Amino acid sequence: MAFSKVKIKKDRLELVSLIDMIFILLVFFLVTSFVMRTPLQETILYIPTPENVLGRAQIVIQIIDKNRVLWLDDSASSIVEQIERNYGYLSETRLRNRIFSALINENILSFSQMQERLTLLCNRADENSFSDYFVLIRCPNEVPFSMVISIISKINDTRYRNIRYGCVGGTLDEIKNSRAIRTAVERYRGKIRKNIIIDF
Amino acid sequence: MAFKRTDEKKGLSLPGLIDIIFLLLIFSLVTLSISQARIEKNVAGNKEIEFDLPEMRSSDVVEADNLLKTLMFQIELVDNSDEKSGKVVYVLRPLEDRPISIRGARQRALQDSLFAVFPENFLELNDKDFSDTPPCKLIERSIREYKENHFFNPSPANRIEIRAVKSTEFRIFNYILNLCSSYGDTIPQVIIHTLGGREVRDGIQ
Repeated sequence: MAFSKVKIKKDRLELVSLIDMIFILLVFFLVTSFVMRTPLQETILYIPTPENVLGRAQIVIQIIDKNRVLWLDDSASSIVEQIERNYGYLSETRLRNRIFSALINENILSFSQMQERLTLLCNRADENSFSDYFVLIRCPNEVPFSMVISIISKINDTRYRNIRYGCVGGTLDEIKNSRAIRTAVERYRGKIRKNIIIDF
Repeated sequence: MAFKRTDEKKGLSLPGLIDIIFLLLIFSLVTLSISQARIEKNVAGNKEIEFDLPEMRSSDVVEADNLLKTLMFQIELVDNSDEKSGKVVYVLRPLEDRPISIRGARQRALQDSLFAVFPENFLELNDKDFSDTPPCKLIERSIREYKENHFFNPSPANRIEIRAVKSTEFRIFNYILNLCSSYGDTIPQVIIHTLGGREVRDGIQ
């Protein structure tokens, strides 16, 4: 008896099923990407009420408008000190104006530059749990309070929560028209430091 | 010439049919789950965020409670669809005998006329005139009364909450802060309601 030849069927890809599968995968990925997005949830943030005492801060962030801030930290005191040394002969008003212009020239930052400095500050705070910073945020009346919240939420994001903060109302013009901007040597927590004093 | 009649049976392709059924099944399952989620959100009521709160870019967020626990100032746009419309403040007070949701307290504030609209020119007013406006008077009276009835001693647990649309001017916020501050350590902090979540946290530089 002769054996019949076994016919080997060639596997063919079904076009209709392929399109269907592609559609199913497309729908699956679309749906998962939609579902995976966690909806925004309402959260809370604690803000201390301002104390009625002489303000003292390592960093002062004066919000100018929605895009610019004036950042005053330790480096500002050396600028003020240098001007006091070089132009000490000027009248108090002229000296204050010169100090103010120098501070403006050196320390006005865009919002993104400020974010970078805040990141550096947070990194410094995260390196040492014993370090302690206080950031004072001054904000003009017309600026949305959400800008203050965005700064606070950034500095609130440290590992040891060692950056304290406070916020008060205030404008750049108030600093410009302050009675005096000067440096003073002060003893604070056992350390002698040179600080900027802005006398409103 | 005689036409040849072909009598091919039009059969339904089984694999294609199964694929279509699967597609329909997935579609109906997904739309069902999404619509149910929306219904639950509406039923819960309080979970729903009615307006744009400021965003909280922090990895460590504390979820807000839907129940009102202390005095809350809710600041909204007069017309939610118009960003440039004025601001209105609602005074939300918790009930003594039973818990109340934020939404429920807002309804009560509407019924009791515990709301006031800030004048359009409030940014141009001096501090004295600003504090004499009806919303500021309402805020001042509410804090004073609430403090007299609930905050007897200085304590970190004494808090006032602010739930404000993110375009709220700092002047309004600062006014409430300063009022709380005038009571010294009796009201040492305020709570701000913000929006936190994955999308917001992803924006951290």
